[in-house]
Amino acid sequence: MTTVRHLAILLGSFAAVTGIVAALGAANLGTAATAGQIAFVIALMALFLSGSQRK
Amino acid sequence: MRVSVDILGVSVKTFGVFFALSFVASGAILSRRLRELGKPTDWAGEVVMAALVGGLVGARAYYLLQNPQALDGNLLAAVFGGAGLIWYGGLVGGALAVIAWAAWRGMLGLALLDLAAPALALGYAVGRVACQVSGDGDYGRPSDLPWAMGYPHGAVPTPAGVTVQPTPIYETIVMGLVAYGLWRMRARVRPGALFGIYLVAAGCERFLVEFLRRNDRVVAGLTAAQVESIVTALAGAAIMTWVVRRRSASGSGSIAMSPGGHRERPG
Repeated sequence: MTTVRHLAILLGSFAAVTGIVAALGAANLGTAATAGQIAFVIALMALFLSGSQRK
Repeated sequence: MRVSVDILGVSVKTFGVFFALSFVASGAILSRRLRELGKPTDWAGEVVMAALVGGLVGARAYYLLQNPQALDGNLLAAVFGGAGLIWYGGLVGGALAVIAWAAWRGMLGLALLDLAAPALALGYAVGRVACQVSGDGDYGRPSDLPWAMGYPHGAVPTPAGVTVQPTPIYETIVMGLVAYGLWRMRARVRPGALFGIYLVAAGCERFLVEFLRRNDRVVAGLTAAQVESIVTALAGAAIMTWVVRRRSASGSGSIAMSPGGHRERPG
């Protein structure tokens, strides 16, 4: 369940930021997706650094 | 997409910013994993520095091997001059430097490979943001897809009016998900398996994305990167087979650890 939630966060952050930047008037969808790409890696780092520790 | 942006009058190279961030991101999860394993977290900085220096030397050396004409004229300028880095050369150079570091620290073994796997995948994913924002030529072939785009101001600009596949975005998403999967599995698989999975996944990803990119076909209709990807994936498969066989010899054929094979504690 955690994995599904995390995947939803990752892909959702990409889609949401892409959609917002496109709606704000990005030159094209590819440019908007670049913002989504950056949001995706930020979300990924947040997941990496916030989860429980494992040995 | 631009090669540089002006911030308070200072020209900042977009590729350099995200290239550096890729090492910062890799170092962050290395540090976290080292802490989980009870090792000094400052080793992460040492690993990243070794990988950075070795990777740059390897990537540049491989570029010069593939483009010997760049050595004509001023040799020093060719060796230390600006652009011309190739990922697989960086992988080899970085790996050799990290192996040397591990030998120095007495950490040479399967644990080192598994430690590196998620960090390598994450570094690649963030590194592709650098390619995307700078338009360094790693984009794909011309396309009319709704998300196809031009890079008229990139380091390797597309012709006016031409739109191409933004393949660095695809690669960030795929390798980011690979990094996530490896991170989730980090304490659940046998030593060595994580690195084997990484090699298979990275090889498959690069092999497939090359069909969308504009690199020249060099043998059997495949690009040089695709040939290298096949070797990478086969090496990963060989490692995974070796891990399974090693476990079979000692009673368990699974690549996964048995329940209780790891401990968890809240972070």
